[in-house]
Amino acid sequence: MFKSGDNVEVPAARKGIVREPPSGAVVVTSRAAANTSGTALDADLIDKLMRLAALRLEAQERELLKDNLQKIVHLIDTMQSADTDGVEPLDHPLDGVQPLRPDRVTEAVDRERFQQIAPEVRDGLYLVPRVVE
Amino acid sequence: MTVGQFATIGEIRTALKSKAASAVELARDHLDRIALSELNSFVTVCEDDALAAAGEADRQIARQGQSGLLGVPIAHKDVFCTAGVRTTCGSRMLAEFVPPYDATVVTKLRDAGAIMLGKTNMDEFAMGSSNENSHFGSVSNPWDANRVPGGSSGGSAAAVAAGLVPAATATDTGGSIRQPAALCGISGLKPTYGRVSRYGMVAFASSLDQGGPMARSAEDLRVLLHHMEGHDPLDSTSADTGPTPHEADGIGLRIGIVREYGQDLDARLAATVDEAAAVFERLGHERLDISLPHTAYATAAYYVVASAEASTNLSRYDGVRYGHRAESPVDLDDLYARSRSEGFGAEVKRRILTGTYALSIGYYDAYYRKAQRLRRLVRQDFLDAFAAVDLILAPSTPSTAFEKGALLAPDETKDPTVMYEQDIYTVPVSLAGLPALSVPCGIVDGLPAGMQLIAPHFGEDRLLALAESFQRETDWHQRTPAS
Repeated sequence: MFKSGDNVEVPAARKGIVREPPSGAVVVTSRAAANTSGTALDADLIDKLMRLAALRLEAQERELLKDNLQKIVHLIDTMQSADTDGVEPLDHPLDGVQPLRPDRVTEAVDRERFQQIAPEVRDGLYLVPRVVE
Repeated sequence: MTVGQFATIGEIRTALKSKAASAVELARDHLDRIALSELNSFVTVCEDDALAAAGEADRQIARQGQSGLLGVPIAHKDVFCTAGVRTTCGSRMLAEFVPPYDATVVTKLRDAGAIMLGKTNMDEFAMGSSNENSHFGSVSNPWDANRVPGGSSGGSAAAVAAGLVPAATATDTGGSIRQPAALCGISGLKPTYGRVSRYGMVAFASSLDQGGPMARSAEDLRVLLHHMEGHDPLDSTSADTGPTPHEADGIGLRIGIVREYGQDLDARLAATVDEAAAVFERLGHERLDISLPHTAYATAAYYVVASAEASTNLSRYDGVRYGHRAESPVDLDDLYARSRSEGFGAEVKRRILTGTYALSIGYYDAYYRKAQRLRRLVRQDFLDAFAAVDLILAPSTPSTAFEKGALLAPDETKDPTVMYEQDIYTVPVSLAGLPALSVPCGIVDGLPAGMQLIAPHFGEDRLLALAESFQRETDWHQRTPAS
């Protein structure tokens, strides 16, 4: 995969802020022309992602999704041309620190109330299909 | 009753104080308009609760007079948990979800006396820029029913613009307050990250999500922010900076115009922002060109960070503790996968998979960490700019409200990233965690145009002061859709 500093061509449409007109055709053409590099998603990778995300899709929905995802990956691949060497990743927009509070119990778990909205409970327990025979 | 359909909070408070209107009359009047409206801006209307609360507000007003938001009708975006009132987040996953607790924002506004009339429609899990991703159907823009109100807070924006409520809560992760406010011709404020508690706000991207108000004037935004903000022990990311002061004089400011935002912006929209800049110059402010050199990377970085956080946050929906559960699962994996696949819509699935991809082994450094590094550069651009200017003036959106279906085909065959481009002027601010507001600044072909004002962290006071001064000079915020 990409290492930071790898030089990937930025599609021309992304070099500045470019407003693309709300008509699919123009956009697809410019993207297709610009898409000279980038990551291709294959069926195995899609399978892996679906498994990791616990999603399951019908064949037709899957094909469409693969096509959609490919376009999203083209968009996010444009990041690769930016020089970020030596830049510290930003986790919190204000570089904030977590304030500490006194270590006192302030809340009680009201199981009965919370479980009223659960799809299936019995004897105070959440029910799922059997996992141990 | 002497309160007009498009009355501001200030006017409503005056009417309540002088007994020209009662809270019950106001609630009844607004509920009637909501019932007649065909915008689909509400998912749930709380008629009985609202009238009961309004009756109680009238008794309080009789005893001790009107104060705060006592008796003022509002609506909450359906992303804020409301105890006993279903909170759908625009999703089939939460279509029957009735939270056992209130969001802090809901509690605070109720404590201030506001009357909740209902919950507003939104893009599913706040993911979208057109409100077309809602499980409960799209929302119409009050200015043109064939057009979108923007998103994700499209229901709140349309409801305020149509005079169904004087104000509503909303949330902004990448532009979801500012973009719909602009497309519907109202005022909307995204506060500094951490200014408003996220407790009880259904999570999308936790390092970006921020609640804020939508209303008909900057003055009303200030009143609402006052009642929404503040450190909350239940949200450890909420800032402990004290309340927003009300002291900025807003004179002699240096206002930056972003060089990178000019290219290929709809020329008529650009002209409205230019005219606004001229208004500010007449008011004695100075106009300076600034550069935000990493702008071109902001959208990509945003979609990586937001999707990565979304894929993590949305892993909680498993069909076990609450939310949609698939029928007759054969095993645990089947329960998880089918509950999620049935419960989430197409855009949510796209974001979850994008985030899963960006966080997975072999891609984490290339995407997620890369995006976080870019996020720092985008933020640094703003911090550098704020060394030279006090505030930044920018367009809110690249175009006015677009037609339903123009960017999102019902069969999902269109390129999803074209919709993402709607947020090019709003996501950089979100990545940087800055406060920004959108106020109306013109009409183009019968549709509202909006401009953004952006301030340094926790600079809401000056932001609001400048917007208030603009709204004293112009009447764009008082324009309303025909009929």
